[in-house]
This record gives sequence, C-alpha cells and structure tokens, in this order.
Amino acid sequence: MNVRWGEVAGALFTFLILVALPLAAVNYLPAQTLEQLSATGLNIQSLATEMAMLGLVVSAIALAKAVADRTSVAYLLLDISSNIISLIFALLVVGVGNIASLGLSSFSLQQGKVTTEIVLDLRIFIYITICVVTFSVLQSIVKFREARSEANQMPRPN
Amino acid sequence: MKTSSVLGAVLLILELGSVALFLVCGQTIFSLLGTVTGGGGEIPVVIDNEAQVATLTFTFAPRNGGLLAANVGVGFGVTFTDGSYSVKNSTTVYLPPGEGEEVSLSIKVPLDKLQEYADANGTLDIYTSIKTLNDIVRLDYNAKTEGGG
Repeated sequence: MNVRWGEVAGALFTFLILVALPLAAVNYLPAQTLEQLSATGLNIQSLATEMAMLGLVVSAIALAKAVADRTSVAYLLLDISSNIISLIFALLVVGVGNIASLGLSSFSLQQGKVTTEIVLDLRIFIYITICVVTFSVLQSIVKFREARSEANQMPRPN
Repeated sequence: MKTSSVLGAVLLILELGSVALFLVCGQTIFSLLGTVTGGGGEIPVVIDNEAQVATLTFTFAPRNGGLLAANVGVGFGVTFTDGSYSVKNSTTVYLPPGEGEEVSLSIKVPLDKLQEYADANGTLDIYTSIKTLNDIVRLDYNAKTEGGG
C-alpha cells in the first residue's frame, strides 16, 4: 500500500481544526453565555457536536484518500464526497446550526418585558461556497483524468 | 502547467478570499453593534400640555470601528399590540470605516396614547439594521419593550 504521508498529516490537521477545536471551544465558553444563546433557540453544544461529526467524516475521507490510488474511481468518489461534505459544513456554520436556512438565520430572545429579534443575512457566503465546491468537483475530475493519462503514458514493466 | 494546478490556485484564492471577507464583515458588524445604541439609556420625554402631545427623543451613536463601510439603519417607535396605533421614525446613515455619527430621532405621541402604552397595551420598538459589503451582508437587531409596570 502506497501511503502519502503529506496527506495523512493534512487529515490529522483537518481533525484538529474541525473536530477537536469546536468541541474544546464550547468548554471555554462561560455558562452564562451558553444559557443566553440557548434562550435564543441556539444550542451551541449541539452545533459543536454536529460540526465535529461532519469534521470526523471529512478527516476519515482525507485519511482514506491518503492511501487510495489516485487513478482509481474510489479516489475520485472520495474527493467529490469530501467537497460535498465541506458544503454541508459551510451551510451548518453560516446557518448557525440550521442547514435549511441557507445563510438567512433569525433568532428571538425574551428577557422580562423585552423581546429581541435578530436576523442575520449571510447568504452571499453560501453562494461563494457553492462556487468553491463546484470548482473543487471540477478540479477533482480534471486531476483524476490527468492521473489516469499519466499512468497510461508510463512504460509498463515487461 | 497542469489544468488541475491552475484550478487549484484559483480555488485557493477563492477560499482564502471568502474566509477573509467573512471575517472582515463580521468584524464590521460587531464593532457597530456594540456602539449603535450608545446614547440610548433614558428616553427624554417633553410634554406639551397645551397640545396634549409628548415628544420622545432617542439618540443613537453608531461608530464604525470595522474595516468596511456600512449603512446603518436606526429607528424607534411605539406600537399598540392590537395594531390600532403605530408611530415610527427611522433613518439610515452611511458610515465609512473609522467614522461615527450621533443621530437623534423624535416621535410625537398624544398623551392618551402614551398612557395606553404605559398601561401595557403597546411596545416601544427600537430598530437597528447594519448592512455592509455593498448591502449584501446584513444584521437586523430589533428590540420591543412592553409598556406598563
């Protein structure tokens, strides 16, 4: 098995950023902040867990890619899956836990006689992410075709 | 140069650019959010007994400490919960990075309506809207305070 150690290191880095960091960050938030966020209907603990779960899948795919043959269809499928999961991850983060909001989130908070309504419009970042993911899928296909063509041009051992 | 490498370079620029833009927009919005209601604690009420009208003045002091210019919409008003009465005054100011402005808005409310609000039949509404990146990224922050008590 041909292991590409650079890609293994990349997978570990992805794990640290997308899994370990969100889970650790929640523990550093003051309890009062967590309660206030919870009152708006935003469960930050659940958001961090969802981010970590998606991060775990992305890291596992990155690890599998590090050992897969670049000319194999499996590698191409892993690469495309990784891009699509990245889009879901962006939808989750920009939608503040609500993927279906597509970047347009709203919260309501009642404190005594005061009701606060917050609307956050970050849809542009979802459109940018869709462009990035489309480009990434295109790049995966081009890379796969280039790898196959290089493999075909290599002299075969007799 | 391989086509995949060119696409990779374009992707890297696009990804880094979008992350930078996200952070800069967030920094602009949150720097403004902290200052926009700086002048609003007590609302001065001037009563004209002859006309039986009260003038309420609310002062907003938005200051753009962000890196992008922003359009800041501010306003306040009184609304009755049954929808029978509503008065509102709002405006929008354009704030380049590092600039601030004090905005005073007034509304005139008949004394009987003000009494009804005080009897918990209405809400005092404060509207804030921060738009940046050519109005593409937006945060609305509206607070409604029930009368009475």
